[in-house]
Amino acid sequence: MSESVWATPERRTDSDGTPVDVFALPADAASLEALFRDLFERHWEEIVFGPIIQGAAFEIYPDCAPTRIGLLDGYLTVAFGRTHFHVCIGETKGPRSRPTSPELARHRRTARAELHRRFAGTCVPMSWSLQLFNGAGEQQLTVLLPNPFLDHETGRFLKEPDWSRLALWDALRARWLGLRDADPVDRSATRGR
Amino acid sequence: MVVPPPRHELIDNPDGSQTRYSYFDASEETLIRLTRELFDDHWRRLTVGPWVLGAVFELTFDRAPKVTISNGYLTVDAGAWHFHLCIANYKASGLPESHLLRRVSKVAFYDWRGDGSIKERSSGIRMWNGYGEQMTTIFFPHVLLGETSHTVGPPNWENLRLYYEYRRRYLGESVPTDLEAAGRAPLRA
Repeated sequence: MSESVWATPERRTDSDGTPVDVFALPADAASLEALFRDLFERHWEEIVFGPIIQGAAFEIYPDCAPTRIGLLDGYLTVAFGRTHFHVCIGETKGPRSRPTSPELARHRRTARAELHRRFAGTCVPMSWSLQLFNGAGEQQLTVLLPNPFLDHETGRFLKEPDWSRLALWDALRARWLGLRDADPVDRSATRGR
Repeated sequence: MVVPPPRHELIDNPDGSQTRYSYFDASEETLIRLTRELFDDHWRRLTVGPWVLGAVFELTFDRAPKVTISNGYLTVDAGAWHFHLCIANYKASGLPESHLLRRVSKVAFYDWRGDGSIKERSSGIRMWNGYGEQMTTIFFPHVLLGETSHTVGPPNWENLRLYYEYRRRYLGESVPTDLEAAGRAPLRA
């Protein structure tokens, strides 16, 4: 993996005007399954997940390890008891009686997997996440990573940031972007909003 | 308030399935009434979550959710998970146009048909924001649903009564006397 390709963020402006640093991740099925297994099997207690778009946010707090993670016809299913989701991360062929067209398969499948660092105002990061998008640019999933400004249990702002809560973000950067050193930009805010 | 007549739309989906939408009033007043009725009274039999090509979330309730409204956002809290939907004016810093566009701009009843089998069908309500993005789908009881939202039973067309009852309330349609005939009828524009 070339560090210069993966490790340099793209600065985007969200539709609400907020700057976001975007780090592209590999979007092949093997990488995405490994990424999901890491997050949901090893870090389920730390994450919050669900689709988050303008005006609608689903926030699922796993209260146990996944009861099932499985891949079938390109779809990864992650279940926590009855609560579950399916996300198309690989090649999907459909049933023999009604095969999926290549065009539709491209629409369904994850086309972009990205780490997002969202800023407050213009200068300091305030939230960190993983986001997946299908071939039509529709968001499939957001995984909110531990936030140094928020108490995970209550969601309330901490008096002082707990930078140890960036450990998962740092681990993902190291594993998938080759960035071994912590980024001072991630720790540039003095306190939460 | 003058409620416009419902508008219907038949969509041929890329996978060969079809969806018929029946749009209705997306005002704050209507959405508050709708969501309170649904989640206060029928939470046991509903499933909720966005459903786009390549990703579907299926969230069910173990107990009655807590429904609250604050700064234009409706929150439905099921305990281990919750969701927020912008259904009214939202006031905050940032771009005012984005505050308008994040609000529910369209809401519709939908009927989806896949391969013509009893299994590949779905009925419910869907909402979109001003960007045209799907905010959520509320899945009404399926014909094969058992007593709760997570058990499967033999075909029971009576399961469609809740869906048609809500169409009566929000579209002014009559509840069909023969639910199986209504449920099997081809979708029309």
